[in-house]
Amino acid sequence: MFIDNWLIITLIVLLPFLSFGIIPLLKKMGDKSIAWITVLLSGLVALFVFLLIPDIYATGADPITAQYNWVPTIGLTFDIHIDALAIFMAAIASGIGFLVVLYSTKYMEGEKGLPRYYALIMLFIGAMICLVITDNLLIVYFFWEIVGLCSYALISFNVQDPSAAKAGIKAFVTTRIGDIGLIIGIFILYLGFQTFSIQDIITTLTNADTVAFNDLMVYVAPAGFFFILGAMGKSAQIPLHAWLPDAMEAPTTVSALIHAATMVNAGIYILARMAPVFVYVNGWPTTLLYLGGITALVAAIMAVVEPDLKRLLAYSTISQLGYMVFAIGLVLNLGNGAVDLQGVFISQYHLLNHSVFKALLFLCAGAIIHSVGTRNMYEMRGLKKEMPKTRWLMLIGVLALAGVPIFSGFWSKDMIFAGALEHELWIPLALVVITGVLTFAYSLRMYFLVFEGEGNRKHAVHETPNVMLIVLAILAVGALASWILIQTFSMGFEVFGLGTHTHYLGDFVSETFTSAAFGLTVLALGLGFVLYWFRNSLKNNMISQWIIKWGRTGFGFDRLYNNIAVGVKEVALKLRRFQTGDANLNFIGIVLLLIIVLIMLAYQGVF
Amino acid sequence: MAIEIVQTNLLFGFILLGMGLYCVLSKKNLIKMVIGLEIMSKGAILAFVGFGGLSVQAYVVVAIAIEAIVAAVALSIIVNVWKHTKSLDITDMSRLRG
Amino acid sequence: MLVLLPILMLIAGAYVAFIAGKFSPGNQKIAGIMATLFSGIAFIGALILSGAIWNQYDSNAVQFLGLNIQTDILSYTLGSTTLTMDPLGALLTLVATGLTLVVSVYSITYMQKESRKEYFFPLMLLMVAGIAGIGLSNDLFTLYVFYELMCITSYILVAFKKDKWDSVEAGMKYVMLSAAGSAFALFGIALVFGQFHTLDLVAISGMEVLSTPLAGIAVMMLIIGFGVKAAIVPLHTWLPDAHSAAPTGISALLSGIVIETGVIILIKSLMIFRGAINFGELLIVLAIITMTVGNLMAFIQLSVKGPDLKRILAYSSIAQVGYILLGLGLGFAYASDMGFRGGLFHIMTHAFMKGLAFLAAGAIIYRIGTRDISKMKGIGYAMPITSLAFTIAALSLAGAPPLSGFMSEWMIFKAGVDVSTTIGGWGIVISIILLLNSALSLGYYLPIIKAFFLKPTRKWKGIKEAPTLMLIPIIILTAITITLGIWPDIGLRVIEPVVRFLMGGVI
Repeated sequence: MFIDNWLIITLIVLLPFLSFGIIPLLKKMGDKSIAWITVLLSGLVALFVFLLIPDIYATGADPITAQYNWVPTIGLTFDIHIDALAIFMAAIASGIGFLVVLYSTKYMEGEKGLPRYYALIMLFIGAMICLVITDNLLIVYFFWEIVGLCSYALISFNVQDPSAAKAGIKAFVTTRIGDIGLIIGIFILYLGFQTFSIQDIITTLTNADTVAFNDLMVYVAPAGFFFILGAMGKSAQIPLHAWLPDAMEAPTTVSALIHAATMVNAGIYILARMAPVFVYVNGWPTTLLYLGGITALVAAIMAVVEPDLKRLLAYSTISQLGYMVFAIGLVLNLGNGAVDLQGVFISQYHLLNHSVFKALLFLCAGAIIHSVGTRNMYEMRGLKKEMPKTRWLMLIGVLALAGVPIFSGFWSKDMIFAGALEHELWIPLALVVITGVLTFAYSLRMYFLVFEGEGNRKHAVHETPNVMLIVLAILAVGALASWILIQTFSMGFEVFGLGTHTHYLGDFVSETFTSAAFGLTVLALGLGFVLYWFRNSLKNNMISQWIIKWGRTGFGFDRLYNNIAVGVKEVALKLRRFQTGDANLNFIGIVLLLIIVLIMLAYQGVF
Repeated sequence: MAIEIVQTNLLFGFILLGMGLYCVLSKKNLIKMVIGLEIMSKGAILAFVGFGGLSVQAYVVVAIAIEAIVAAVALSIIVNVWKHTKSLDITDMSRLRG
Repeated sequence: MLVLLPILMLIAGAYVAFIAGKFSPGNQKIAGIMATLFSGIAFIGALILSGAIWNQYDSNAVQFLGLNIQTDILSYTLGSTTLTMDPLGALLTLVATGLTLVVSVYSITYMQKESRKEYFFPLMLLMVAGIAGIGLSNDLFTLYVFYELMCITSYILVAFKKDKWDSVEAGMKYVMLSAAGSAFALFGIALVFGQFHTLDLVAISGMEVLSTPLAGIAVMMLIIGFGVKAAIVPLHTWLPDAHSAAPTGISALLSGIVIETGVIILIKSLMIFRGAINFGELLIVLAIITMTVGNLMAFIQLSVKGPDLKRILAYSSIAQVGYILLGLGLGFAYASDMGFRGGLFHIMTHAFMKGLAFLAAGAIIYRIGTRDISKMKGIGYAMPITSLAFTIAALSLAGAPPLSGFMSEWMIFKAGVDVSTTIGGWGIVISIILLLNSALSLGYYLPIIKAFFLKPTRKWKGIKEAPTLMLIPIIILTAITITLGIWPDIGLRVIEPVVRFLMGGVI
């Protein structure tokens, strides 16, 4: 290498944050220059990240490590440990980040507050990369919160719109509640291992003898479940999912980058990263199987009845994230310290495909909404004449989402079915297969509602501008072909112990088409098609009506959140009555505290 | 001997403190409340005095001086209250609440 | 002699500012400029002393600010008594003088329309002199005297705008409750004296407690006495009134440092009974009540008609004191160094971020003349820098990274989880309560930010960005809030000696 790896990593870490500081200062240069400067900067970041890929995805590769002394007083170091998983997530964040910024040059043209937009996007990319490449759990949490902050700020990007501001607050508070799990899990692990380093934790645990292992499990077991809570918030698993559909108030580019391709994957990432530790915990994989399966199913039902294009995509994202959580649940403790981490690989493989096709779908949806001016699919109709190129590109995304053979979503979904089938997990398998049926149904519904039929529009609709089309085309190629990376991809994961074997491309194709899971896929697609075809006759019975009614109100989860907020408010109102403003009453505080302290001291046995 | 004095003084100190507390809890007149406060601090000073010794004298004198200043400040604020409302009844003075 | 520099400068500054203000009625700003000058010198003194503390505790340390400071400057013999600056005092003095410096600059403009400035600035400096004195005293009675100096000046400052009813009523309630608290504190000190026949903290630290019940009563009296100033629930009732009615600079000082001084003086006096009574657990329970009530009350303010911005900030101060108390309580109860570190670092970060929040809010109030949030819709477009600064302060208060509030809060979370080795699941429960509180605090900070940037409901005619002299302190505090977030080491260097000092338990 002619450039030192350390230098590249330092640039990757620093460049986005420097951009965040600099971009707002360039306000005077005009929005257009800022946009293209950001394209350049994010392109550079992506380039640096991609430069590291060959070093990692090679036979017998070593992780790339670096260390920065951050807070020496308390011994907090910013350790960097880049392995296959880390570089892959970083590549997704920076690569899709770059494409989204490129797309934004046209899409966001003329919006107010663009310097803020681009600065936040750069901050987000930087924080996301740092989140995945660091080895220190505390720093993971630090950046975990920063991406949450970016998400909040970008959802509320249109600050003058009260609903956008409200959605931002909802997203921030809900994910914050999930984060409680993560931080407590991290600190519990620290109690057991006296280190924040993920690699040290894994090494200690795998090398421990039986006694030490059992001692450590006392900490690992609760930590595992706290980590799941953390992932639930960020990766929008039920019941902490309701912020994601509301987050669609954000500009579509933000939805594509943050709420489809990267940030929502942070939860999946942390579970995958920690799977080598938590796989030993009894019930941890099973919890993930059911959590993921149920989330996938419920979100798919909501997607089937959703009239709003972006919210539909959001529900579909939740559903697909459910698949990924499910896939991590396929990890297996074989006993005697042996583990099967194939599930981690499967989930990341699906994550790769999903990031690409979901970004494509969101950006297509953005282009459509941009030109039609509504998010309601029933008001779109018949766009295939006006936006033919967009239509074909979106069709690729839809087919990939639905899991139609040879499109990218198919391969990973098939792998998930195969995994569940192999371990004979019948109920979870049923959950994901039914989800597959519904996925095909809502994909068809979305496509036909938007592009087929007859639309009556007052104003003319234009085809997507070229800059945006280029981005869409790149992503469409990805949605067609990202699965081909399997050989390199699985090799990298195998080398770093996160997968069982390398899938050679030829074998992989033939295996997939001959496995029993392929039958399930075909079945799911067939049933999905039937479901869509007979949608009108299926709609009129009681149960369907009930599902439609409930699904459109988010199955009451929003009401649940509301009730909690109202409950807190009522407690506070009761409390407020004590602040009467009466001067005598202030002294009752003294008497009260006297009693409290007396009781506690008596309890301690002082008197 | 010392123990007895200490206990009597502490006892009376507590009684004064309690009386003062009762006063500020129940009286509606600002001046009476300030008197209550003064009784409370006299209780504290009495508790101090009981322990005897040279340093205590110094402490007590300083403490009394501080009490006087606090009383002066309290009364000066009460003068301003009077200027605003022409009343010293605290039931009229609960505009800040919640 | 250098150890006396901060307090002497503050007292001298009070006289100079008074005389300068009194004898130059033509020049309105002179008192403020003098106050700035002298608090600046006091701040430099405090910086040097902090450097000496760091050197004393870490001889291998890199030289503080490039200077190798002798540690013998930390004590000064005056007649028969020796005044020594301990690490806790150094921390307190540093934060207090730093905040005073920016508040003085800010108040030059903010108080421009007010009369009697020649009283305002001297009183402010005397209040801080009281705090510096608390940092310097190793004798419980001296501590009490300086504490009263701080209290008495703050009474007058709260009621400073005597032609406004709010100030008078708030001042009246404040002086009543606080004076009652002082009586309890004095009683507690008397009981300490009864136990040990001395009030010298160094001497006491080696002694055994005579009677545990009496010690228990003393602890109770001290908690109630100093708890009033620390705004421990249920002794907090004076705070929302006083903090919202006081002139903004004073609100910033009250929230930023005065109530924290209450906490510090509380723990400094309670440490006497460290061996005899586990008051750490008491502090934990009180802390949990305090932060929950503070956050809930702040949260409900938004549902009130015409929510008062300063009142929300005041309630949030109660919650933040809860965090501080929790950290310190965990430290005392279970010897958790992370608890001490988090609590003390939170004292520092809170001083600056809450100071910033109040100053930014004050600048907005100065321009539009109301504290009502519903009348501030879209103020962010008229006063972008101030609103951005407030946003940063609010996010930091809510514990969002990469801001300073996050850095201190996670340490307290960690302390909670750490002690679960001693008390089992309860440690985790404590942490969860704290984290839920932190999430709840987002619920009232974010709507304020939202209101600032909504579509303006009225034309901001004639409303400009805050005046330069008010903007400079705001920008400085913003810089500190961000810097302590991404480079906490500079703050922790001042904290670390205090942590070791509290862990060691010697004075």
